Amino acid sequence: MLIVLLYAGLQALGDLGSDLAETGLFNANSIIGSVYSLTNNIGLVVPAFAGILACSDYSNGTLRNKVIAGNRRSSIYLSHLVVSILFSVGIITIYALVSTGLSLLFFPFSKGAEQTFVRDIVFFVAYGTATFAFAATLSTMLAMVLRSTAPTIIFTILFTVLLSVMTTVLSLIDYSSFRHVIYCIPTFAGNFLSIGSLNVLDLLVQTNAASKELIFAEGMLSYLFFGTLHTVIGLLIFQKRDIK
Amino acid sequence: MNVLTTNALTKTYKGHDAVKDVSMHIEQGDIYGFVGENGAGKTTLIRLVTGLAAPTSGSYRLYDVPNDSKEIYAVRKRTGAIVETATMGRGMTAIENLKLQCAITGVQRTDDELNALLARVGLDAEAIHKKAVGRFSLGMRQRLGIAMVLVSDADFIILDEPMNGLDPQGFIEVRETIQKLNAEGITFLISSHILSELEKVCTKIGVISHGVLLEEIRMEDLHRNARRRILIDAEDAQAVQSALRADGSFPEIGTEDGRVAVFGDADINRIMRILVERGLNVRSVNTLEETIEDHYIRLLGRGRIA
Repeated sequence: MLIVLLYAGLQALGDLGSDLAETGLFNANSIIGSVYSLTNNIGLVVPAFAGILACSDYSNGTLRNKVIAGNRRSSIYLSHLVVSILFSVGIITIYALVSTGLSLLFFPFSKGAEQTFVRDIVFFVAYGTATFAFAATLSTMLAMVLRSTAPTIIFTILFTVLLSVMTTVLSLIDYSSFRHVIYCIPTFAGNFLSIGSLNVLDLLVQTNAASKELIFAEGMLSYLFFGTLHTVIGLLIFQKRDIK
Repeated sequence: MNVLTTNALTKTYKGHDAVKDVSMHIEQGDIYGFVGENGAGKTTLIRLVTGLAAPTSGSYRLYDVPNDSKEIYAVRKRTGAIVETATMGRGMTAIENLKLQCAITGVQRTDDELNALLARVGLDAEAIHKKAVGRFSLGMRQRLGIAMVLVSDADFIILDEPMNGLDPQGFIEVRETIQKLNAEGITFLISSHILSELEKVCTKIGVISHGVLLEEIRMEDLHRNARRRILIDAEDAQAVQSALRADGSFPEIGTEDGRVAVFGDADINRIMRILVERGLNVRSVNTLEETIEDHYIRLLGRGRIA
């Protein structure tokens, strides 16, 4: 929201009005593309939420009550995961609505961009949701295993940063050779760096339709695989874990 | 009907047996007192049978359902437990805590039903309507904890050290609540090291020490087999002992807290006669039955009775 307002302010101060919009430098598509690339950072809210949710259930005894009351451990685990994912979807939806709404309010579409706009939005929301859901599966697994909020958040962020570093290193070594590997690494839609070529969302906006679908499919499969892996590992450990 | 039976239940932590080969039996209607020193394995066993921890070996049956059966989740809903401390929101009212427990257990209760539940454990719903649980006495919180496990119509309640920290009034309140609910058909497993309180409510006790169940005994059997003893408080305890030994009628004579103790079915009149004949001054003579505490001490071989 701040980014959009900043651009809007710049536009007003610099008398950038409709002339620049015509050139395509400042339009809804480019602004939204910039805003969406920040998904990485707000994604960090998810592990914090999932960690606090699961670990507070441990510390205040609610989890103990649930087990004693005859709830299956798998149900307890999955209910935590579902709440975390719903929270994630809520965050991404609010983010999408606010940033898109503000962008459209202040900036016009570039010519002919309307056709790709909806598609980009769909890609963004789907990718953002999958990204956040991935973060939720990771942090829920860590929370249920580690039983402590701070280590859960720290390890989730460390793990994610590690993946981002991997992405960056691989692309610096040989981007074209490792392109498909890079987009299968489940980081927050690319990396924490502002390198356009590494940011999946930027790429989705910039690349042609065929590549978009390929990148999108690779990313989704990667999220699905790793999300499932986290959930299976978390469930297996939680089933056998003694509860204080 | 068996409510809980354990078969050689064992839990090992890092090579240490917290609970070893415990086989216990709780029948419907029992108030089972689980007795043992701190660290004896009481809480570990409770954690095993409530599903909070998995046994290293052995098994248990809850309402005749094996612990590894899928049916165990259904019968667990008939069980309520307060392990260590009752979990409740201190800033919430009693009714709010009960509503939260309803959500956790997945049952629906009206406000009237919840108020009736509070009354059932001796909490006046109207008086505590707006009072945060943090302002309750410990006894009230224990009774609210019992109400919380009753929201799902539990008919087997496990209480881990429910008397801890209670004042005398709290003892009475919790004891009366347990007895009242037991009269309604609810079975209890109560762990405690406050033996005098257990003696007042239990129908059966199990004594555990260092993870091993030493004995299970019904209270009526304990009282039937209780060792009676006569305690003599005399100016010269040594002389009293010598006189009674010389008589030869009393096979077991010892001392307890500086007094002479004559065990078994000794004839008190004969004792008095001997002491009078020898001119020994006696301050008091009392006949005592063995208490649960005496039994426990004797069982553990830590006789204060010499």
